[in-house]
Amino acid sequence: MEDSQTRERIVVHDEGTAGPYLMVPVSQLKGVVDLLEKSRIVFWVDQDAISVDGEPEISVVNFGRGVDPKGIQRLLDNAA
Amino acid sequence: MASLEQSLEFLMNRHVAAMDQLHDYRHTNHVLWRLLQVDVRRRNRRLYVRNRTTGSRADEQELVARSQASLKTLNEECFKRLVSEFESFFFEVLRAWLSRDPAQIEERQVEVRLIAACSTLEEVRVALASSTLESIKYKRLAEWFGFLAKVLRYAPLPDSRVEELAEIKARRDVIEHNGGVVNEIYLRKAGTKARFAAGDAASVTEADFEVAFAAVRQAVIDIGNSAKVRARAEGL
Repeated sequence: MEDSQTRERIVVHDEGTAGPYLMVPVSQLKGVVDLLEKSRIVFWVDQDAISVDGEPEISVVNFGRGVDPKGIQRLLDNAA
Repeated sequence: MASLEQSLEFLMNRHVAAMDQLHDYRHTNHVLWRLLQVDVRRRNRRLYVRNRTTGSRADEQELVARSQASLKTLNEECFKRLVSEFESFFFEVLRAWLSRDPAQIEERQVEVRLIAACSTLEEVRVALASSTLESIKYKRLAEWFGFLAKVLRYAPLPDSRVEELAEIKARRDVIEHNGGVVNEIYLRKAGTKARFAAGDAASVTEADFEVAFAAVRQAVIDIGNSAKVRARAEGL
């Protein structure tokens, strides 16, 4: 799945001891959420979306520690 | 000297203001970490910071690598502070009431030196109230509220809300005293409101903090208002 703002793939970030997360423009959030729910992946979305210098608002989707970040990445890469 | 009703109003307002400040603190810091993530990951911001005290250095990648764990810690620390704020308020209300209405102080033995250290009757009442409250602090939350209801001659919260607060407090205790790993003590304290199983990591997401914040803040307001009404009714 491509990020509509950066035109690059949506990346699942996984660093440190907390769970992985991804950032996505708000305009694409529903598509990502639908994909995750259909795949029964547990996640939660930040309450705030952030816009910097007038650029599109970005939402953050969080995953728990037990989730497989590579599996989520494959899911996103294979989605249209 | 302020009336008990005025003292209770002051306590309630002070603790509600402190909780609102805590909410702002958590929210602002959450936003700042997210801003860092967006700026580095999506806008290729480059940074370099050096800690002059320790000599440690970090570039933007290292800072972003700490961000998600820092947000987790932020939620947990603010959750713990929220519970502390509630506990302080609860016992300050009881101490203020018992100092004015010593008839509610439990019959118990106290050490003579506790009384000997006081120079006025007011100080004796405060010392006896504090001693009574120390004996309650290590009991279950339901017993705290049982004592409050006895003192006020009124139960300010229904059992279901007390149980919700008990789960919040139990989760805080697990985070503080058991490395965040849920144990039998949590399950016993949380009862039917338990959200985790033994061995689980007791997490505090942003949504968890918001739910706990709303429950605790409203509890402080409802307890404060109930106590004020009762103080007026009792002529204290």
